[in-house]
Amino acid sequence: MTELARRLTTPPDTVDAVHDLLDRLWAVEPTITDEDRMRFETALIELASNVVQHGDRGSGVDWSVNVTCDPSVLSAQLVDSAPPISLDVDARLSMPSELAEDGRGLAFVRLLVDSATFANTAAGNEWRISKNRAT
Amino acid sequence: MQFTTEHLGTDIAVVRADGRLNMVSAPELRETVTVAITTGRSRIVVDLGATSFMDSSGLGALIGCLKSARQAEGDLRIAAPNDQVRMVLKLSNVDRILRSYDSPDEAYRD
Repeated sequence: MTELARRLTTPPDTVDAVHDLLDRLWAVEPTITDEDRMRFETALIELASNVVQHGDRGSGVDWSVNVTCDPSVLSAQLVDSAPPISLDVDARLSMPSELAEDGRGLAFVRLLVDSATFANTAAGNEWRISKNRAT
Repeated sequence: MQFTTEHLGTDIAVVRADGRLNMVSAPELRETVTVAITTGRSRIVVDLGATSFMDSSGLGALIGCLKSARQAEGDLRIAAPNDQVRMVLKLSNVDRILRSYDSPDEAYRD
């Protein structure tokens, strides 16, 4: 099993730090298929983008990303220190029209991974996603 | 992410997007395409041959650029997307409105 983590502060950190973390994971775990990589990376970057866009209310936001790979599952935990938000994940399931320029992030997440949950915890706003690996 | 613009014929601009097209780089794509349109090249090809990744922010920028090009009586087409970009286009159904070609040279052959 491989577990990698990063603590981030925005600004100046961006979602590129999450891409870099995943590049390290792919290097350590070369048996993860291309399909699993692109689905997991796309979902995690959508959630990280959400933190950067909505978590920073003017005074910056501290956040952390943990990614774990075991023989059967890829999983990630993303926690931010922004004020608690209420989020109805199921309400964001529908895909906007083809010409919409935003609003697709969470719809993508639900289509790309096997599990996506959001909770307000003592540590902050917490997302957890998991993707069963191809066998 | 780096964007470079080359001219094709009299009114086509080929915008090459090199790297990750995400919320960090999406605003620069919009600016690059806007410059091309305002300088008289409203038929745009975004060459994705060197684009390693695209998320919903990058997709939103592409759609915004498509609208801008059409408002200027032009169009926007994409070339050489990789598997991840194709996945995002298909999941969002944007592959129905954004035509994809194998190379920039083929994009406006019709």
